[in-house]
Amino acid sequence: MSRRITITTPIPTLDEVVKDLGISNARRDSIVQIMGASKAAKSKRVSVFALQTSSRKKKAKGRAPSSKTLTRKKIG
Amino acid sequence: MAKLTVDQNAVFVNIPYDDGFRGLYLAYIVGLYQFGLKPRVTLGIPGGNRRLDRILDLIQSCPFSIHDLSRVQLDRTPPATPRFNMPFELGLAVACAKLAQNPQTYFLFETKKRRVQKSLSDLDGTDPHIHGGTVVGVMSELCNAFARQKARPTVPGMMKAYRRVSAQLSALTENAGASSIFTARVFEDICVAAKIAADEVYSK
Repeated sequence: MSRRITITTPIPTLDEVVKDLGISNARRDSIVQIMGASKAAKSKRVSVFALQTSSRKKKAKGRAPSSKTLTRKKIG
Repeated sequence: MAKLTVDQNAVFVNIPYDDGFRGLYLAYIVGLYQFGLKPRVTLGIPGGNRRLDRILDLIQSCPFSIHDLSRVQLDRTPPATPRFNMPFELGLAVACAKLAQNPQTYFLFETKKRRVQKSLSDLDGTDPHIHGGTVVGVMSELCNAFARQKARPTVPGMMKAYRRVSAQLSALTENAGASSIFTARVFEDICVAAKIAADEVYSK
C-alpha cells in the first residue's frame, strides 16, 4: 500500500474521456446540455437576485429616512 | 492469455453500491476527475463464471486502486451478513500488486480510525486514509493520496465540482432512463458530468 503518489501523466480532455467510455456524441451532447442548463439556471438566479438587490437599493435611496433612524439621530 | 492494456490514468474504485453510500460514491468519481484520473468500477460486469475473470482484468488494467472498507457491519436484510466483496477485491488487488508484471499501487480508505486494524489485521502496518464518512473527508483524503505537480486540485474546488454534479444527479439518472445511480450507464454519464465540472474549476 502507498500513502501518496504523484501523477505525471497529462490530464485527459473531455473528448478523450467520452471516447474512452464509449459514449456516443448524441449522449455526450445531452449530458453537456444538462450540465449547461444547470449553469444557465444558476446564473439566471444570480442575475435576478442582483436585479432585486439593485432595485431595492434604488428604492431605499429615494425613500425618506425611517422614524427609527430619525430618533437615533436625535438621540445621537 | 491476451495482453491487457494498462491505462496510466485509470483507478480501480472498490466501494459499496448502496443508497447510504451515494454521496461518497459521487465524491470518489468527481474527486478523481479533478486529478485527471479515470475511475473504473465493477458496475456493468455481468454475473457468472466470467465475472471474476473480468474483475481481475479490470484490476490489472489499472495502475492504481482505491478500496473503501467502510461497510464492514452486518446488513439489515436477512440473513444478516457482512459485505465481503470489498475485502475480497482488496485481496485480489494486493495479490496483483505483489505478483503481477504491472505492479499496482493500492490505497485503503476507511470511515473510522483504527477499525481496519481490527477488521483486517493482516494489513497491520498499513496506514489507511480516514475520511470520516463525509464528502469533504473523501476529497481531503484524495488530496493526501494523489498529488499533481501542475493543476493541483484544492478541496474547495473539488467541493464546488461535487455540488455542481450532485445538483444534476437526478436529471442524469432520468436522462439515462435508470431508477438507481448504481448502473453502468449512469456511472458513465456521471463521469462525463464530473469531467465537465472539473474543466470548469480548472478554467477559473
